[in-house]
Amino acid sequence: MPALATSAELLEHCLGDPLDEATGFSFARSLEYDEREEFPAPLIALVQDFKLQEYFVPSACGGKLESFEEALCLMRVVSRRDLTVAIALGQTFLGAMHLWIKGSEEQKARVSQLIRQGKLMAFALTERTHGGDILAGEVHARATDGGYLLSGEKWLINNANSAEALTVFARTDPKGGARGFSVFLVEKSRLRPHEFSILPKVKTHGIRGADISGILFNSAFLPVNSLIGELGSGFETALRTLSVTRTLCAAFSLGAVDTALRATLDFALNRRIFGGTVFDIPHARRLLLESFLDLLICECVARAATRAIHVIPDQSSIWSAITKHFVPVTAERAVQTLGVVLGARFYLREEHWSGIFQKLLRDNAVVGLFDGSTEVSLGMLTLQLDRVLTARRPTPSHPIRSDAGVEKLFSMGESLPPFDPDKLELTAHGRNTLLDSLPLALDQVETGLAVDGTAADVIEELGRQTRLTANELSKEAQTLSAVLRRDGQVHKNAETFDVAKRYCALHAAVACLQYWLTNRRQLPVPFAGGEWVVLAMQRLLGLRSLDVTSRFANSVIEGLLGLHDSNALFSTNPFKLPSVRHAVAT
Amino acid sequence: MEPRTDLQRDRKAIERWLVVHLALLLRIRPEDIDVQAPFAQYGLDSLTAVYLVGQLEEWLDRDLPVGLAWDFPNIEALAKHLAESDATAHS
Repeated sequence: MPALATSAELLEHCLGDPLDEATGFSFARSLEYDEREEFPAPLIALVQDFKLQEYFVPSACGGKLESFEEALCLMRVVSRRDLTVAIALGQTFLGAMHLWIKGSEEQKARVSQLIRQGKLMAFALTERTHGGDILAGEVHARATDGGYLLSGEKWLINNANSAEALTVFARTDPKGGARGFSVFLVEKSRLRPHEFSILPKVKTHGIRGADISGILFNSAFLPVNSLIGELGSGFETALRTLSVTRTLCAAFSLGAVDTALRATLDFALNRRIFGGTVFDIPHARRLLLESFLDLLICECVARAATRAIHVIPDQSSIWSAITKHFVPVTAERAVQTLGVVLGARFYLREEHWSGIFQKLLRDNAVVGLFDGSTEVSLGMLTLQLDRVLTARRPTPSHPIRSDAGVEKLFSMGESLPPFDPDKLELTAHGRNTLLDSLPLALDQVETGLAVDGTAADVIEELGRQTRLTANELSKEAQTLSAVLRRDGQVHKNAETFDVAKRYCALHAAVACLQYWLTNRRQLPVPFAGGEWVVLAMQRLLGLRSLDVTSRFANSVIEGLLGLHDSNALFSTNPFKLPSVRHAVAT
Repeated sequence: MEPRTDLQRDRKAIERWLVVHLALLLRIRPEDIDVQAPFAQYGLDSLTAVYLVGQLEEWLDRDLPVGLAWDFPNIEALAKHLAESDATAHS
């Protein structure tokens, strides 16, 4: 079994089958907390009994975090079951991440201790009147004897009430600007009662039990060792942290789609209608196949992006923006599509699988909203888009790298270099190793595949799709050049957002291709054959609608059913899940 | 080669580039830009500043820290810094 499955697979089996109502962490129990809009503390505690939080702390600080890819797979395990729980844990990771990037040894030791004890954290960033515009923040910290006085209100903060400690983003220069903010580690136990108050819980459409509230600081005294990094480094530290955590948010989406697909496929295979099963209906089968392809595509994008944090941290600003836009948008569309197949049952808060589908549909909608919405992510991308779209010609200062970087990004067996937070940058300086590798990938498709038994029609299609991808990139580059000539800039332009979306889709296409090219000998049949890559790239390029009767479609459907029948994760790198009692559709 | 002359030439060229590109970005006339006036005076926001530094990187063909436009108050100071750090890199 692939080494990476080990910790996630272990956690899966510790948590048990969510369909089994005798299990502590079942869909039924999750729905109870959701219906009552109650914070699912016992479910979070149950996950922490299995020490997941060890993976929120770097091994250098006494924890087990060494690979963000592993962290992604672990968070997917929780996300499959309950996004309210997953997001409470994810927010803890987000609060702590600032310290791993910029904290002092003393601060890191303290946060390590808190997290490993099972305490939760929060990242207090947003305010009522400024959401995504963080440089408009009014919560401020004024220097005083021995430290700072923190005042103001942070609102819509996940875990504000339940967190033991928070990373707080505050203005430290009245003039503001990119150097006018700092981040502080604030422990509630070290504040005096009158120095802070928790705001009421805000009722939400999804993750209804989540502790989304806020915190009001009233000249709260923070000792000088609360400051994380240098004074005025808060904006950079927050952005660098988000360039890691935005990528990890993909775990929420991957888990949600896996469960949505599993619940829907289970229904479709058992529900009899019009003399056959729902699955027998070609249109339903097509929708299931499209959702499955979307999941496989998102997994390729997300896994490569988590590996990129280790291998090419200097490009994290681009990769996290792409991932944070593409994965939640694609996942939402997949879940909605599956709801169409599920029919009336998607709308019920009970019955099929305890009503988990409608919960995850509502919950999943938050992933595209928080921590830099999908639109903010596109905006971040537009700042760099005209540069990354231009084909890199080798210059003395930037010789074209060999594809060794791509190998490390995708090779499943390959160990990752240790994470070096100092190498995280706010700009990728015009580089995207994945898209730069396209000519080499095309070469491999056109010459390398013929000799190793890949089907001729796969080779032909992949060649066509890869050439098209390259052409599309050139076209988009030309579009942006025209915008630049006309407007003098590209990043404040609506047209650029369309180009950015297209860029994400093309990046995803190359991610699927490179993942398969690199790992195909290790993939299980039928994924090794590459038919899924043909369909994935066709889907991303948007050139023709999926023909569910084609050989390619039948091959991928066979793969989907195989995973379902063996109760495995919906992945090209699957493992068996805890045993399920196949629910008979009511 | 006279390092001092080079410095002056580089610095002037960089200043000129910054004036032209700031004007293009902010839709103002180059002749209305004072190289000693703070960037903030022309309404250069933090993110547009990042974009500007990106364009500068392309022109100079070298990586620059993104915070450059945040750390130097005006065109003159930024150009001087770039010319000096470039000269140091090549000495």
